Amino acid sequence: MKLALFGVLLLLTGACRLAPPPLPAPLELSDTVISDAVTWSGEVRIRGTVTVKKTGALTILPGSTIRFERIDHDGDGIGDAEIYVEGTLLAHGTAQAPILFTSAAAQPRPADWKFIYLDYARKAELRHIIAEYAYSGVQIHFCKATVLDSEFRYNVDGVRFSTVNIEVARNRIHHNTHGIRYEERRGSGSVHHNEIVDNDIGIFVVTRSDDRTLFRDNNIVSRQYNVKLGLAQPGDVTFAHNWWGTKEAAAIRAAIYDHDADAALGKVRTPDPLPAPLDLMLPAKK
Amino acid sequence: MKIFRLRRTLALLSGIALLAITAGAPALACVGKTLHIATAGSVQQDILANALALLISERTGTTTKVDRFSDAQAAHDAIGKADLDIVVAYTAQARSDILKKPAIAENQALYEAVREEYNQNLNLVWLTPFGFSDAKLGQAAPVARKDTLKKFPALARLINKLGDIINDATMAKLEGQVKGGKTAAEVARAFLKESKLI
Repeated sequence: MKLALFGVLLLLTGACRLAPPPLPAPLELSDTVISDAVTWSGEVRIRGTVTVKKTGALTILPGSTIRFERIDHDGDGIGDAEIYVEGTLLAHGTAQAPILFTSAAAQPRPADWKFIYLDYARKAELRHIIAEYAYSGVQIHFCKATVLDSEFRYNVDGVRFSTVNIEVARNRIHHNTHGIRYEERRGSGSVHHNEIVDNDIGIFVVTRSDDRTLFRDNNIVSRQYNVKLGLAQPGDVTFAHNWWGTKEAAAIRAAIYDHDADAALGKVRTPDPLPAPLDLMLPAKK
Repeated sequence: MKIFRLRRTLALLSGIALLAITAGAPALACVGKTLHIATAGSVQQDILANALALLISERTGTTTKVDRFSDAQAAHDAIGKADLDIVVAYTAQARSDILKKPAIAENQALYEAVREEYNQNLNLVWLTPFGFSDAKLGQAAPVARKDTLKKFPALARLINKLGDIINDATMAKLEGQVKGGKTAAEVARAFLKESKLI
Protein backbone atom coordinates (compact mmCIF):
# COMPACT_ATOMS: atom_id res chain seq x y z
CA MET A 1 0.00 0.00 0.00
CA LYS A 2 2.76 2.36 1.04
CA LEU A 3 4.60 1.51 -2.14
CA ALA A 4 1.52 2.26 -4.30
CA LEU A 5 1.02 5.61 -2.55
CA PHE A 6 4.67 6.44 -3.11
CA GLY A 7 4.27 5.58 -6.81
CA VAL A 8 1.25 7.86 -7.20
CA LEU A 9 3.07 10.70 -5.46
CA LEU A 10 6.07 10.17 -7.68
CA LEU A 11 3.87 10.30 -10.80
CA LEU A 12 2.16 13.49 -9.63
CA THR A 13 5.50 15.13 -8.88
CA GLY A 14 6.75 14.16 -12.33
CA ALA A 15 3.62 15.52 -14.00
CA CYS A 16 4.05 18.77 -12.15
CA ARG A 17 7.62 18.95 -13.24
CA LEU A 18 6.65 18.40 -16.90
CA ALA A 19 4.01 21.19 -16.98
CA PRO A 20 5.48 24.42 -18.42
CA PRO A 21 5.56 27.37 -16.11
CA PRO A 22 2.66 29.75 -16.71
CA LEU A 23 3.52 32.68 -18.98
CA PRO A 24 3.49 36.05 -17.26
CA ALA A 25 0.51 38.18 -18.26
CA PRO A 26 1.42 40.83 -20.82
CA LEU A 27 1.99 44.32 -19.54
CA GLU A 28 -0.95 46.37 -20.86
CA LEU A 29 -0.53 50.11 -21.28
CA SER A 30 -2.79 52.90 -22.47
CA ASP A 31 -1.57 56.54 -22.41
CA THR A 32 1.45 56.28 -20.11
CA VAL A 33 4.23 58.61 -19.00
CA ILE A 34 7.63 57.23 -18.01
CA SER A 35 9.63 59.68 -15.89
CA ASP A 36 12.25 57.39 -14.34
CA ALA A 37 14.04 54.13 -15.16
CA VAL A 38 11.74 51.40 -16.48
CA THR A 39 12.57 48.00 -17.98
CA TRP A 40 10.27 46.02 -20.23
CA SER A 41 10.54 42.33 -20.94
CA GLY A 42 8.24 39.63 -22.26
CA GLU A 43 5.09 40.91 -23.95
CA VAL A 44 3.92 44.52 -23.76
CA ARG A 45 0.63 45.65 -25.32
CA ILE A 46 0.15 49.35 -26.05
CA ARG A 47 -3.12 51.11 -26.65
CA GLY A 48 -2.26 54.82 -26.75
CA THR A 49 0.90 56.88 -26.41
CA VAL A 50 3.78 55.85 -24.17
CA THR A 51 5.87 58.96 -23.50
CA VAL A 52 9.40 58.68 -22.14
CA LYS A 53 10.04 62.10 -20.58
CA LYS A 54 13.45 63.81 -20.41
CA THR A 55 14.06 62.27 -17.00
CA GLY A 56 12.88 58.83 -18.11
CA ALA A 57 14.86 55.85 -19.41
CA LEU A 58 13.18 52.90 -21.06
CA THR A 59 15.22 49.72 -21.44
CA ILE A 60 13.74 46.87 -23.46
CA LEU A 61 15.25 43.43 -22.95
CA PRO A 62 16.08 40.91 -25.70
CA GLY A 63 13.20 38.75 -26.87
CA SER A 64 10.53 41.23 -25.84
CA THR A 65 7.48 41.73 -28.05
CA ILE A 66 5.76 45.11 -28.11
CA ARG A 67 2.32 44.96 -29.69
CA PHE A 68 0.44 48.12 -30.66
CA GLU A 69 -3.34 48.02 -30.92
CA ARG A 70 -4.90 49.48 -34.04
CA ILE A 71 -6.73 52.60 -32.85
CA ASP A 72 -7.43 55.60 -35.09
CA HIS A 73 -9.21 58.35 -33.20
CA ASP A 74 -8.87 61.02 -35.91
CA GLY A 75 -9.82 58.72 -38.78
CA ASP A 76 -6.78 59.59 -40.88
CA GLY A 77 -6.01 55.97 -41.65
CA ILE A 78 -2.88 55.98 -39.46
CA GLY A 79 -2.90 54.15 -36.14
CA ASP A 80 -2.46 56.33 -33.07
CA ALA A 81 -0.49 54.00 -30.77
CA GLU A 82 3.14 55.02 -30.42
CA ILE A 83 6.24 55.29 -28.24
CA TYR A 84 7.43 58.89 -27.96
CA VAL A 85 10.89 59.41 -26.50
CA GLU A 86 12.39 62.62 -25.16
CA GLY A 87 14.59 60.82 -22.63
CA THR A 88 16.49 57.56 -23.16
CA LEU A 89 15.54 54.49 -25.17
CA LEU A 90 17.80 51.46 -25.09
CA ALA A 91 16.35 48.65 -27.16
CA HIS A 92 19.14 46.12 -27.41
CA GLY A 93 17.99 42.76 -28.70
CA THR A 94 20.35 40.05 -29.81
CA ALA A 95 20.65 38.16 -33.08
CA GLN A 96 18.99 35.16 -31.42
CA ALA A 97 16.40 37.17 -29.47
CA PRO A 98 15.49 40.39 -31.30
CA ILE A 99 12.94 42.82 -29.92
CA LEU A 100 9.75 42.83 -31.99
CA PHE A 101 7.61 45.97 -32.41
CA THR A 102 4.46 44.97 -34.26
CA SER A 103 0.73 45.36 -34.74
CA ALA A 104 -1.66 43.60 -32.39
CA ALA A 105 -4.16 43.15 -35.23
CA ALA A 106 -5.03 39.63 -36.37
CA GLN A 107 -4.53 40.74 -39.97
CA PRO A 108 -1.90 43.44 -39.70
CA ARG A 109 -1.23 46.07 -42.35
CA PRO A 110 1.12 49.07 -42.72
CA ALA A 111 0.28 52.04 -40.46
CA ASP A 112 -1.60 49.97 -37.88
CA TRP A 113 0.46 51.87 -35.31
CA LYS A 114 2.24 55.19 -35.62
CA PHE A 115 5.93 54.94 -34.76
CA ILE A 116 8.79 54.85 -32.32
CA TYR A 117 9.45 58.59 -32.27
CA LEU A 118 12.72 59.96 -30.93
CA ASP A 119 12.42 63.69 -30.46
CA TYR A 120 15.36 65.53 -28.88
CA ALA A 121 16.02 62.19 -27.16
CA ARG A 122 18.86 62.17 -24.66
CA LYS A 123 20.09 58.76 -25.76
CA ALA A 124 18.69 56.44 -28.39
CA GLU A 125 20.12 53.05 -29.34
CA LEU A 126 18.23 50.49 -31.36
CA ARG A 127 19.98 47.21 -31.99
CA HIS A 128 18.57 43.89 -33.17
CA ILE A 129 15.00 45.10 -33.29
CA ILE A 130 12.27 44.30 -35.80
CA ALA A 131 9.71 47.05 -36.52
CA GLU A 132 6.76 46.16 -38.74
CA TYR A 133 3.27 47.41 -39.72
CA ALA A 134 3.94 50.95 -38.47
CA TYR A 135 3.50 54.28 -40.22
CA SER A 136 7.23 54.73 -39.58
CA GLY A 137 9.27 51.91 -38.06
CA VAL A 138 11.29 54.61 -36.37
CA GLN A 139 11.32 58.41 -36.69
CA ILE A 140 14.32 60.27 -35.33
CA HIS A 141 14.50 64.04 -35.02
CA PHE A 142 16.90 66.50 -33.41
CA CYS A 143 19.10 63.97 -31.63
CA LYS A 144 21.95 61.51 -31.89
CA ALA A 145 20.96 57.90 -32.50
CA THR A 146 22.17 54.51 -33.69
CA VAL A 147 20.06 52.03 -35.60
CA LEU A 148 22.01 48.80 -36.06
CA ASP A 149 21.51 45.15 -37.04
CA SER A 150 17.74 45.53 -37.24
CA GLU A 151 14.89 44.84 -39.62
CA PHE A 152 12.25 47.31 -40.82
CA ARG A 153 9.48 45.80 -42.93
CA TYR A 154 5.85 46.39 -44.01
CA ASN A 155 5.82 50.03 -42.89
CA VAL A 156 5.03 53.20 -44.81
CA ASP A 157 8.48 54.57 -43.88
CA GLY A 158 11.05 52.05 -42.70
CA VAL A 159 13.55 54.46 -41.14
CA ARG A 160 12.85 58.19 -41.17
CA PHE A 161 14.98 61.00 -39.81
CA SER A 162 15.64 64.71 -39.93
CA THR A 163 18.14 67.04 -38.26
CA VAL A 164 20.10 64.23 -36.61
CA ASN A 165 23.50 62.77 -36.04
CA ILE A 166 22.84 59.17 -36.95
CA GLU A 167 24.39 55.83 -37.84
CA VAL A 168 22.21 53.35 -39.70
CA ALA A 169 24.15 50.15 -40.36
CA ARG A 170 23.73 46.45 -41.12
CA ASN A 171 19.93 46.63 -41.25
CA ARG A 172 17.47 44.86 -43.49
CA ILE A 173 15.00 47.47 -44.73
CA HIS A 174 12.46 45.91 -47.04
CA HIS A 175 8.84 45.93 -48.26
CA ASN A 176 8.13 49.48 -47.08
CA THR A 177 6.72 52.33 -49.16
CA HIS A 178 9.92 54.29 -48.42
CA GLY A 179 12.90 52.31 -47.17
CA ILE A 180 14.71 55.35 -45.78
CA ARG A 181 13.15 58.79 -45.79
CA TYR A 182 15.12 61.77 -44.61
CA GLU A 183 15.58 65.53 -44.50
CA GLU A 184 19.10 66.53 -43.57
CA ARG A 185 18.46 70.10 -42.45
CA ARG A 186 22.15 70.43 -41.56
CA GLY A 187 22.21 67.17 -39.64
CA SER A 188 24.63 64.42 -40.59
CA GLY A 189 24.78 60.67 -40.77
CA SER A 190 26.36 57.51 -42.01
CA VAL A 191 24.20 54.88 -43.68
CA HIS A 192 26.24 51.84 -44.57
CA HIS A 193 26.13 48.07 -45.09
CA ASN A 194 22.34 47.96 -45.23
CA GLU A 195 20.14 45.78 -47.40
CA ILE A 196 17.55 48.27 -48.69
CA VAL A 197 15.50 46.12 -51.06
CA ASP A 198 11.95 45.58 -52.32
CA ASN A 199 10.72 48.96 -51.10
CA ASP A 200 8.61 51.09 -53.47
CA ILE A 201 11.19 53.86 -53.06
CA GLY A 202 14.57 52.88 -51.63
CA ILE A 203 15.67 56.32 -50.43
CA PHE A 204 13.36 59.33 -50.37
CA VAL A 205 15.30 62.59 -50.02
CA VAL A 206 12.48 64.91 -48.98
CA THR A 207 14.21 68.28 -48.69
CA ARG A 208 17.19 70.37 -47.54
CA SER A 209 19.85 67.71 -48.01
CA ASP A 210 23.37 68.41 -49.22
CA ASP A 211 25.56 65.34 -48.74
CA ARG A 212 26.12 65.54 -45.00
CA THR A 213 24.55 62.08 -44.78
CA LEU A 214 26.78 59.53 -46.47
CA PHE A 215 25.22 56.46 -48.04
CA ARG A 216 27.94 53.97 -48.88
CA ASP A 217 28.28 50.20 -49.29
CA ASN A 218 24.56 49.46 -49.33
CA ASN A 219 22.56 47.15 -51.58
CA ILE A 220 19.71 49.31 -52.89
CA VAL A 221 17.23 47.63 -55.22
CA SER A 222 13.67 48.95 -55.27
CA ARG A 223 10.30 48.32 -56.87
CA GLN A 224 9.89 51.83 -58.36
CA TYR A 225 12.83 54.15 -57.72
CA ASN A 226 16.07 53.54 -55.86
CA VAL A 227 16.41 57.25 -55.06
CA LYS A 228 13.71 59.86 -55.34
CA LEU A 229 14.00 63.58 -54.61
CA GLY A 230 11.09 65.34 -52.96
CA LEU A 231 9.46 68.42 -54.42
CA ALA A 232 11.57 70.76 -52.29
CA GLN A 233 15.03 69.27 -52.95
CA PRO A 234 16.62 71.54 -55.56
CA GLY A 235 20.21 70.68 -54.56
CA ASP A 236 22.27 67.77 -55.87
CA VAL A 237 22.92 64.72 -53.68
CA THR A 238 25.54 61.97 -53.95
CA PHE A 239 25.32 58.24 -53.26
CA ALA A 240 28.74 56.74 -53.88
CA HIS A 241 29.82 53.11 -53.88
CA ASN A 242 26.49 51.30 -53.60
CA TRP A 243 24.99 48.36 -55.48
CA TRP A 244 21.94 49.42 -57.51
CA GLY A 245 20.72 46.09 -58.83
CA THR A 246 22.55 46.49 -62.12
CA LYS A 247 25.93 47.41 -63.56
CA GLU A 248 24.40 49.33 -66.47
CA ALA A 249 24.65 53.11 -66.11
CA ALA A 250 21.42 53.71 -68.04
CA ALA A 251 19.51 51.26 -65.85
CA ILE A 252 20.87 52.92 -62.70
CA ARG A 253 19.70 56.30 -64.03
CA ALA A 254 16.26 54.91 -64.91
CA ALA A 255 15.65 54.01 -61.27
CA ILE A 256 16.26 57.57 -60.07
CA TYR A 257 13.71 60.39 -59.91
CA ASP A 258 15.53 63.72 -60.06
CA HIS A 259 16.34 66.63 -62.34
CA ASP A 260 15.86 64.48 -65.44
CA ALA A 261 12.14 64.13 -64.60
CA ASP A 262 11.56 67.58 -63.11
CA ALA A 263 13.94 70.43 -63.89
CA ALA A 264 13.20 72.07 -60.53
CA LEU A 265 14.88 69.18 -58.70
CA GLY A 266 18.56 68.57 -58.07
CA LYS A 267 20.58 65.80 -59.62
CA VAL A 268 21.31 62.44 -57.99
CA ARG A 269 24.93 61.40 -58.51
CA THR A 270 25.95 57.75 -58.14
CA PRO A 271 29.73 57.59 -58.53
CA ASP A 272 31.64 54.32 -58.25
CA PRO A 273 28.64 52.00 -58.37
CA LEU A 274 29.45 48.51 -57.15
CA PRO A 275 29.62 45.82 -59.84
CA ALA A 276 27.82 43.22 -57.72
CA PRO A 277 25.80 43.08 -54.52
CA LEU A 278 27.75 43.16 -51.30
CA ASP A 279 27.65 40.09 -49.12
CA LEU A 280 26.51 41.87 -46.00
CA MET A 281 26.30 38.78 -43.80
CA LEU A 282 23.26 40.14 -41.98
CA PRO A 283 21.43 38.09 -39.36
CA ALA A 284 18.89 35.66 -40.79
CA LYS A 285 15.35 36.97 -41.30
CA LYS A 286 13.04 36.20 -38.39
CA MET B 1 38.60 82.47 -13.86
CA LYS B 2 39.90 81.86 -17.37
CA ILE B 3 38.55 78.31 -17.26
CA PHE B 4 35.15 79.62 -16.17
CA ARG B 5 35.09 82.08 -19.10
CA LEU B 6 36.14 79.33 -21.51
CA ARG B 7 33.35 77.05 -20.27
CA ARG B 8 30.82 79.88 -20.60
CA THR B 9 31.97 80.62 -24.15
CA LEU B 10 31.78 76.95 -25.08
CA ALA B 11 28.28 76.64 -23.63
CA LEU B 12 27.21 79.73 -25.57
CA LEU B 13 28.70 78.37 -28.81
CA SER B 14 26.97 75.00 -28.27
CA GLY B 15 23.66 76.80 -27.80
CA ILE B 16 24.16 78.81 -30.98
CA ALA B 17 25.09 75.64 -32.91
CA LEU B 18 21.95 73.85 -31.71
CA LEU B 19 19.81 76.85 -32.65
CA ALA B 20 21.44 76.98 -36.08
CA ILE B 21 20.67 73.29 -36.65
CA THR B 22 17.07 73.49 -35.55
CA ALA B 23 16.15 76.93 -36.91
CA GLY B 24 13.60 76.89 -39.64
CA ALA B 25 12.47 73.34 -38.99
CA PRO B 26 8.76 73.40 -38.24
CA ALA B 27 8.25 71.34 -35.10
CA LEU B 28 5.49 69.16 -36.49
CA ALA B 29 6.66 68.99 -40.08
CA CYS B 30 7.53 65.33 -39.83
CA VAL B 31 4.72 63.95 -37.76
CA GLY B 32 2.45 63.18 -40.68
CA LYS B 33 -0.67 65.27 -41.20
CA THR B 34 -3.04 63.56 -43.60
CA LEU B 35 -4.49 65.58 -46.46
CA HIS B 36 -8.07 64.67 -47.32
CA ILE B 37 -9.19 64.88 -50.95
CA ALA B 38 -12.79 64.45 -52.05
CA THR B 39 -14.38 62.49 -54.80
CA ALA B 40 -18.03 63.19 -55.44
CA GLY B 41 -18.57 59.70 -56.79
CA SER B 42 -18.31 59.89 -60.60
CA VAL B 43 -15.57 58.02 -62.48
CA GLN B 44 -14.09 61.36 -63.52
CA GLN B 45 -14.00 62.56 -59.91
CA ASP B 46 -12.45 59.27 -58.77
CA ILE B 47 -9.62 59.59 -61.30
CA LEU B 48 -8.89 63.24 -60.55
CA ALA B 49 -9.04 62.78 -56.76
CA ASN B 50 -6.68 59.81 -56.99
CA ALA B 51 -4.34 61.73 -59.29
CA LEU B 52 -4.16 64.58 -56.77
CA ALA B 53 -3.71 62.19 -53.84
CA LEU B 54 -0.94 60.23 -55.58
CA LEU B 55 0.85 63.31 -56.85
CA ILE B 56 0.95 64.85 -53.37
CA SER B 57 1.93 61.69 -51.51
CA GLU B 58 4.52 60.59 -54.06
CA ARG B 59 6.22 63.96 -54.42
CA THR B 60 6.09 65.26 -50.86
CA GLY B 61 5.67 62.14 -48.72
CA THR B 62 2.58 63.68 -47.12
CA THR B 63 -0.08 61.08 -46.44
CA THR B 64 -3.27 61.56 -48.41
CA LYS B 65 -6.70 60.00 -48.19
CA VAL B 66 -9.48 60.04 -50.78
CA ASP B 67 -12.86 60.54 -49.11
CA ARG B 68 -16.03 59.64 -51.00
CA PHE B 69 -19.08 61.92 -51.01
CA SER B 70 -22.52 61.47 -52.57
CA ASP B 71 -22.39 64.67 -54.62
CA ALA B 72 -20.64 68.00 -55.15
CA GLN B 73 -22.78 69.79 -52.56
CA ALA B 74 -21.83 67.27 -49.84
CA ALA B 75 -18.14 67.65 -50.70
CA HIS B 76 -18.49 71.44 -50.68
CA ASP B 77 -20.15 71.32 -47.25
CA ALA B 78 -17.32 69.14 -45.92
CA ILE B 79 -14.55 71.44 -47.17
CA GLY B 80 -16.46 74.38 -45.69
CA LYS B 81 -16.28 72.65 -42.30
CA ALA B 82 -12.55 71.91 -42.79
CA ASP B 83 -13.22 68.17 -42.92
CA LEU B 84 -11.52 68.17 -46.32
CA ASP B 85 -8.49 69.87 -47.82
CA ILE B 86 -9.05 69.63 -51.58
CA VAL B 87 -12.02 69.04 -53.88
CA VAL B 88 -12.33 68.96 -57.65
CA ALA B 89 -14.94 71.56 -58.65
CA TYR B 90 -16.46 72.77 -61.91
CA THR B 91 -16.84 76.44 -62.75
CA ALA B 92 -20.44 76.51 -64.06
CA GLN B 93 -21.69 74.22 -61.31
CA ALA B 94 -19.95 76.29 -58.65
CA ARG B 95 -21.45 79.50 -60.03
CA SER B 96 -25.01 78.19 -60.21
CA ASP B 97 -25.35 75.56 -57.47
CA ILE B 98 -22.96 76.79 -54.79
CA LEU B 99 -22.83 80.55 -55.28
CA LYS B 100 -26.39 80.78 -56.65
CA LYS B 101 -25.36 83.41 -59.19
CA PRO B 102 -26.41 83.87 -62.83
CA ALA B 103 -24.45 82.05 -65.51
CA ILE B 104 -21.46 83.56 -67.31
CA ALA B 105 -20.95 82.31 -70.87
CA GLU B 106 -17.27 83.01 -71.43
CA ASN B 107 -14.98 80.39 -69.87
CA GLN B 108 -12.17 82.59 -68.57
CA ALA B 109 -14.54 85.22 -67.20
CA LEU B 110 -16.51 82.48 -65.43
CA TYR B 111 -13.33 81.00 -63.92
CA GLU B 112 -12.16 84.44 -62.71
CA ALA B 113 -15.56 85.20 -61.20
CA VAL B 114 -15.86 81.98 -59.19
CA ARG B 115 -12.22 82.14 -58.17
CA GLU B 116 -12.66 85.64 -56.81
CA GLU B 117 -15.88 84.82 -54.99
CA TYR B 118 -14.49 81.61 -53.41
CA ASN B 119 -11.33 83.39 -52.32
CA GLN B 120 -13.10 86.38 -50.80
CA ASN B 121 -16.08 84.71 -49.19
CA LEU B 122 -15.26 81.04 -48.66
CA ASN B 123 -11.48 81.01 -48.00
CA LEU B 124 -11.09 78.50 -50.81
CA VAL B 125 -8.55 78.80 -53.62
CA TRP B 126 -9.20 77.73 -57.20
CA LEU B 127 -6.00 76.38 -58.70
CA THR B 128 -5.16 75.98 -62.40
CA PRO B 129 -7.91 74.09 -64.31
CA PHE B 130 -6.97 70.61 -65.52
CA GLY B 131 -7.62 71.56 -69.14
CA PHE B 132 -10.92 69.93 -70.04
CA SER B 133 -14.50 71.15 -69.89
CA ASP B 134 -17.81 69.46 -69.19
CA ALA B 135 -20.62 70.85 -71.33
CA LYS B 136 -22.95 71.27 -68.34
CA LEU B 137 -20.59 71.69 -65.42
CA GLY B 138 -17.85 73.87 -66.91
CA GLN B 139 -14.08 73.69 -66.47
CA ALA B 140 -12.74 71.32 -63.82
CA ALA B 141 -10.12 72.56 -61.36
CA PRO B 142 -8.71 71.62 -57.97
CA VAL B 143 -9.99 73.80 -55.14
CA ALA B 144 -8.05 73.89 -51.87
CA ARG B 145 -8.57 75.37 -48.43
CA LYS B 146 -6.55 78.53 -47.92
CA ASP B 147 -5.40 77.21 -44.54
CA THR B 148 -4.06 74.03 -46.13
CA LEU B 149 -2.07 76.01 -48.71
CA LYS B 150 -0.62 78.14 -45.93
CA LYS B 151 0.46 75.04 -44.01
CA PHE B 152 2.01 73.48 -47.13
CA PRO B 153 3.54 76.37 -49.05
CA ALA B 154 4.74 74.21 -51.96
CA LEU B 155 1.37 72.53 -52.45
CA ALA B 156 -0.18 74.99 -54.91
CA ARG B 157 2.87 74.84 -57.16
CA LEU B 158 2.77 71.05 -57.08
CA ILE B 159 -0.95 70.73 -57.79
CA ASN B 160 -0.65 73.24 -60.63
CA LYS B 161 1.61 70.73 -62.40
CA LEU B 162 -1.67 69.01 -63.26
CA GLY B 163 -2.91 72.26 -64.83
CA ASP B 164 -3.69 72.23 -68.54
CA ILE B 165 -2.40 68.70 -69.09
CA ILE B 166 -5.71 66.82 -69.27
CA ASN B 167 -7.68 67.81 -72.35
CA ASP B 168 -11.12 66.43 -73.32
CA ALA B 169 -9.64 63.50 -75.25
CA THR B 170 -7.24 62.54 -72.44
CA MET B 171 -10.01 62.67 -69.82
CA ALA B 172 -12.24 60.49 -72.02
CA LYS B 173 -9.39 58.01 -72.48
CA LEU B 174 -8.74 57.79 -68.74
CA GLU B 175 -12.45 57.31 -67.99
CA GLY B 176 -12.56 54.60 -70.63
CA GLN B 177 -9.75 52.73 -68.87
CA VAL B 178 -11.71 52.71 -65.60
CA LYS B 179 -14.87 51.56 -67.37
CA GLY B 180 -12.70 48.87 -68.94
CA GLY B 181 -11.93 47.39 -65.53
CA LYS B 182 -8.91 49.22 -64.09
CA THR B 183 -9.21 51.02 -60.79
CA ALA B 184 -9.16 54.81 -60.69
CA ALA B 185 -5.96 54.66 -58.64
CA GLU B 186 -4.24 52.45 -61.23
CA VAL B 187 -5.30 54.74 -64.07
CA ALA B 188 -4.22 57.85 -62.18
CA ARG B 189 -0.84 56.34 -61.30
CA ALA B 190 -0.14 55.26 -64.87
CA PHE B 191 -1.11 58.71 -66.17
CA LEU B 192 1.15 60.50 -63.67
CA LYS B 193 4.02 58.18 -64.44
CA GLU B 194 3.57 58.63 -68.19
CA SER B 195 3.54 62.39 -67.65
CA LYS B 196 6.76 62.07 -65.59
CA LEU B 197 5.05 63.70 -62.65
CA ILE B 198 5.89 60.83 -60.26
